[in-house]
Formats: sequence, C-alpha cells, structure tokens
Amino acid sequence: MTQKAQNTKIFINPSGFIEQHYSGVLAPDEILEGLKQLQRFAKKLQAEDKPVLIFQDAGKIKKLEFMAPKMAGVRKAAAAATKDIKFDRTAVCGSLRVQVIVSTLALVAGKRDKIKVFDNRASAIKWLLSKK
Amino acid sequence: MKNFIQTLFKDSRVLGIPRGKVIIYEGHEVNKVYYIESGYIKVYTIAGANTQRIPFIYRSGDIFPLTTFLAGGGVARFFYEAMTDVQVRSIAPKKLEHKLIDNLELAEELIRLSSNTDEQFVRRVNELITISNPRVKVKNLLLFLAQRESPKGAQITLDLKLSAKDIAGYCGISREEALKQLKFLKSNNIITVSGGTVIDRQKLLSLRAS
Repeated sequence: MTQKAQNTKIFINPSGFIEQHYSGVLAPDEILEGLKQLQRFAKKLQAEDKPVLIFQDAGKIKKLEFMAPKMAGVRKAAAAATKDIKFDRTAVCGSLRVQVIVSTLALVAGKRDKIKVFDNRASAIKWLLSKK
Repeated sequence: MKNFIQTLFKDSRVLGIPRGKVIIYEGHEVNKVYYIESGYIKVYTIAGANTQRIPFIYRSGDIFPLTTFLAGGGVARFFYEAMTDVQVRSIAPKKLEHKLIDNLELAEELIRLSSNTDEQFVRRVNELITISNPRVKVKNLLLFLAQRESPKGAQITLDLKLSAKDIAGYCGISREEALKQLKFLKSNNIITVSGGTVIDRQKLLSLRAS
C-alpha cells in the first residue's frame, strides 16, 4: 500500500516498518494529512498484530515554520498523534530543528524512550530494527 | 513569555557562579538546564591551543543548554563559561521532562526560545564565514549585544567588559587585531569601557569597514 501527496509519501518498507517522508516546503494541511495517513498505517499494522515501527525521514524539508501562528493546529495535531498512535518505536531523521520539535513532542506525549531522532538514515533504521 | 519561563525555575535557589568558571564542558552529559538571572555566559568550541570560537553569548533571561536538552542529545555540544559573575537557577533534565508531559503550551514556548537562539547562532556562524573585514565583524558583535540588551536605545550599557580574547574568539580574528579594533572604537567614543561597556548605537551603525 503506497500513498503519495505532493511533499509527503508513506509506505511499508520491505523490512516491515512504516516509512514516511516529508520534503520541500510543507503547508499545514499537508502535515495534517501526513499525520492522518500515519494513523491509518499504524492501525493497519496493529490490526495485523505486527509491531508498529515507524521511520520518518524529514531530511529534505526545505522550510518548516513550526512555530508560526498558521501552524497552531498542526502543533496540536502532532502532539495528539504522538500520544494517540500506538507504536513500538519511531525513528526520525532530520535537521537539528526537526530533532528539537520531534523530541519535545515526544516529551509532551510521555514517550521519549520510544522516539529517537538521528541525523542519518542508517543509524535511524539500525536503532528502529534493533532488538533492545 | 518571560514570566512563564521564570515560573519553571522558581522553585530552585539562585546560584552564584564566578567569572571564568566553566559551567558545562563540551562532550559532558547535561545534568542541569540553567536560567540566567544576571550576567553573561559565552558558548564556545576550542579551535586550537588557547583559541576559542564563540558563536554565541547568553544573557539574563536566557536558558541553556536548551537545544541540547530538547533535541534529546543529552551531551553538551559546546563549552559554557561565565564571562562575568553570573547568577543562575537550574532544573534537572528529568524534572523538566516531567513538567513537559501533557504541557503543549510549555513545549511551544521552549521550542520557540530554542528556535530564536538557533537562528541567531546560524546567522553568527554564517557571518564568521562570509565576512572577512575585522572592523565589520567587531561592529556586528557589538550590534548583536546591543540589540539583545535594548532593541531601540541610543546608548546601551552592558554589564560586561569585553576582553580582546573574547572579541577575538567571537569574531574569529587574532587578539592583536581585536586589540587594534578595541582601541579604535574607544578612541572614536563608539564604546566606553569602565565597569561595563557603553555602546553608542548611532556611531556604531555609521561605522564603515576598515
């Protein structure tokens, strides 16, 4: 199952984890749609009794005005999604700014031990698929 | 916003740190997050024996090392040293993590603070790379400090006596060049240095490259 929006795409990696990409200049509705897709994919894996492992690649985001007033709804939705989506692990790859945002939302959700941020894909996937 | 952040640290006692003391060492685990009540903290890396590269200076109202804490790294990326006697409050990372649970409002404030600082950080690093003229570099340093202290004042007083070593480290120039620029600034009454540093913003803005 693969779905593609303009600056986001999501699919199941052959290794069995959800892989989601964000790139370019993201509008609020693109991020909100990305979050909805993530929820759908996570529910599907849960329904199949498979581990819910998520890899998010935000390395190609060109501009992310996360704290802009127009992003208030996105911030709230992202915080809610981080809390509500039942996942085993999430690895995120992106710039320092992305790392700050993702890690802070992980703290708000009380899930800092389940979400890690990395600056390269290889390390992210290595952690995601590791046993411990 | 400031009151919101002050509330975060209100339960911790004020700690005095003398000038010259390194508060956090590069590569060490971050075991406290600090709020500056008064004074200045310089952030630097080591570029060689006795050579510091100072990308940023924190002042009262700032929190450090905030980006390191929020990004989840846990390990300091820079040295943090008191440029003056400083007074700080602190909170353990675990306690701050606990305060963030289900608190999106606090999270947003901290992300905003971190972003603002990082933008200035990046601007500073770009300046270090792209600007070669030492007078312009020193001018930009003083404008940065003046802007943070008082965005609009004509005369800005910093409770900070900038040394040639600090100017050299911040601007990426030699100490000899820093001394030369300091001498020029003083002789033209652009800055006056006694207990602290007084900056004449108008004269500074009119300053051209050497």
